[in-house]
Amino acid sequence: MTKSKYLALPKGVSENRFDAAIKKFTAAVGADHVLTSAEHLAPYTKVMMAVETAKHHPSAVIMATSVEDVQAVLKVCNEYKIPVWTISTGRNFGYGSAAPVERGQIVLDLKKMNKIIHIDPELCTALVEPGVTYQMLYDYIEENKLPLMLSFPAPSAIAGPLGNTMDRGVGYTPYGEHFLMQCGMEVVMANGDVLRTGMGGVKGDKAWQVFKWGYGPTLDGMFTQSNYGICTKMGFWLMPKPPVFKPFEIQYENEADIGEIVELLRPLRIAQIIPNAVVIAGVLWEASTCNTRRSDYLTTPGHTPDAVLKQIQKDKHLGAWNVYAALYGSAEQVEVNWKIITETIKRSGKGTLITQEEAGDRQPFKYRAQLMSGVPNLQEFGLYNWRGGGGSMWFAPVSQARGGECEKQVKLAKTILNKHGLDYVGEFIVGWRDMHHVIDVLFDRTSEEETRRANACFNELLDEFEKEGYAVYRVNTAFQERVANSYGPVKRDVERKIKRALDPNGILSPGKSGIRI
Amino acid sequence: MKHTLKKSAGLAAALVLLAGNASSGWAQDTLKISEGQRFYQKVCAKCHEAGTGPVILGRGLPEIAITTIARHGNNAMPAFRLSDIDDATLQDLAAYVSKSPAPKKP
Ligand SMILES: Cc1cc2nc3c(=O)[nH]c(=O)nc-3n(C[C@H](O)[C@H](O)[C@H](O)COP(=O)(O)OP(=O)(O)OC[C@H]3O[C@@H](n4cnc5c(N)ncnc54)[C@H](O)[C@@H]3O)c2cc1C
Repeated sequence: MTKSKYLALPKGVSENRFDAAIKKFTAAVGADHVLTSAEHLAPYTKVMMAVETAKHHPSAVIMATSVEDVQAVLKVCNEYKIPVWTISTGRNFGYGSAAPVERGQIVLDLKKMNKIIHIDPELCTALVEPGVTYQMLYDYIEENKLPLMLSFPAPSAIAGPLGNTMDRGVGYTPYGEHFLMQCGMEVVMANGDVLRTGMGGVKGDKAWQVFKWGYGPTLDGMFTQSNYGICTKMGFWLMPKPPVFKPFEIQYENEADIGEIVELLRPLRIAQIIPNAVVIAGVLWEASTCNTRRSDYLTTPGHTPDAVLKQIQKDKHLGAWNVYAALYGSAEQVEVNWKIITETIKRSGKGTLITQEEAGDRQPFKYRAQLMSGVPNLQEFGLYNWRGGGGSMWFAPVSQARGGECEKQVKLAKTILNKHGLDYVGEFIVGWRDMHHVIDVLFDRTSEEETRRANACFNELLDEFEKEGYAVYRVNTAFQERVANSYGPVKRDVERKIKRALDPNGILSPGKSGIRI
Repeated sequence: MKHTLKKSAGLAAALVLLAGNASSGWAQDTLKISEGQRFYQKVCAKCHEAGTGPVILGRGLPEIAITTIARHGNNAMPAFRLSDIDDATLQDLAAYVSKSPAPKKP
């Protein structure tokens, strides 16, 4: 490879041609908003995945500040056939962070488009630009004393609703299935057209943020986890802040209890007695989010033996499984539902209920309660301290919310992880009828050998789970092509046909979810 | 092309508009603190005062170490982009952290 002044070049584009494209980008958005130096690109290269960093090096970054900027960038991309990877707040940790899916793509960074366009406290809706973070929304709601509550993923303070929803992320309040709560999008298409979904195309309309479906095909879904357009505005629903919020935890002693827990809680969840996603966190997830490090217990490499896990559980007063959920509503509603829950747990003869009053300021209860009530924090980054070394890839297979599924998946995952010298650090997020089994494949990225093992482990997890009929709901950029295959050839074929129709030059995030022209 | 949203008359009172400010996008609060210090409090403190990241206040850390780690990330710590925090604000933050007095022992 000849030495280039760029960190990388787009596939098939010569340096001269890229120079010309950069000149045009600069003319379009201003020199301050076009980054090409290795120093400026550095924060876009922290991928955390078990592959070579260089495979995901961007060639340049463009910071857009308006829809017109986005359109102007796409015009140049079409002319020079430059692939462009879009990020909003760019905090997709464990899924590829801010780096592109393929080496040489330019990153279109929308973080500077950060207007909260409106919040309607009566209809409980919001319309935001891509760069708005949950912390900004939280501050705004607090300062204006609006009776509203946010739902967000754990890296709440620095991530944002638009990017999270575009990747179909989840949160922990009754509004935690974020795409379900999305209402109205503005999308810049590859040819520069600006599409408004739902009611948004109707002249004089006021219902864009309140009626999702509009008329004819509902298009919003096809823009999520895809590369068919660039979302520049998103509407979503906010939950009214309830008069009473009652978070609670149920600790279970034994790893084998997991099946029973799900069987016990599913009816309460489906009937909305528990209205938010129930989290069932394993012991290492809990331990690392209350600042426990593996090196406190072990200095030997490899997986952590069960005896040590038991010791940590005892020392840190944790369960083998730790269930978190909350009740929301008036005092009367909460009282009735609390009674149902306490009686259900009592009848089962297992599990220790812990209330907020009992937990006090103790972690991880405190941050869990904050997540369930929309208060931003970054406590879950403690996961990355468990093993250290900055490697993380989420493995998140979906299943039915059934006890038997949990037992089977935990056993399978733990066996594979341990075989590769890594730990099972996992939790179940019980959606409504489904579960996301979220496992953080943590490894030391500073060790080449461990990174290789983590890569082999992730491949084996995907393969072995697929054999049992499971697939992940989302995956890091190094494995998106692989996971697209799990969903079958017909889906891939349809996706490709849509891609060719909407983006004939294949400029928008080629490779996202395995979709290319 | 028109991209601004029309406010409906009936909802005008309920609708609120907020333009992000230049470097951080946060609404101005009433505290008279510098942009760098504000960023520290809103973002950095959530890990560095919660036991997730090491304490960085009151240690006389060199400014260059702070700015370099902020841009590259480190282990559990994410990397912060120019679009998250501009150079001037980061420099201000580094000066604030570097010169901060040792925290009082509880
Ligand atoms: C400790 C920890 C805990 C986490 N917990 C959760 C959790 O509870 N729930 C969860 O969902 N995630 C979780 N994550 C993963 C991730 O950090 C969040 O999902 C985060 O919200 C994603 O980053 P973002 O919001 O900045 O989106 P971005 O990184 O901006 O966007 C995500 C992806 O969406 C696409 N995209 C972004 N903007 C656009 C656009 N304008 N148009 C078209 N496509 C676009 C891109 O493919 C991009 O890669 C966790 C991560 C960590 C480190």
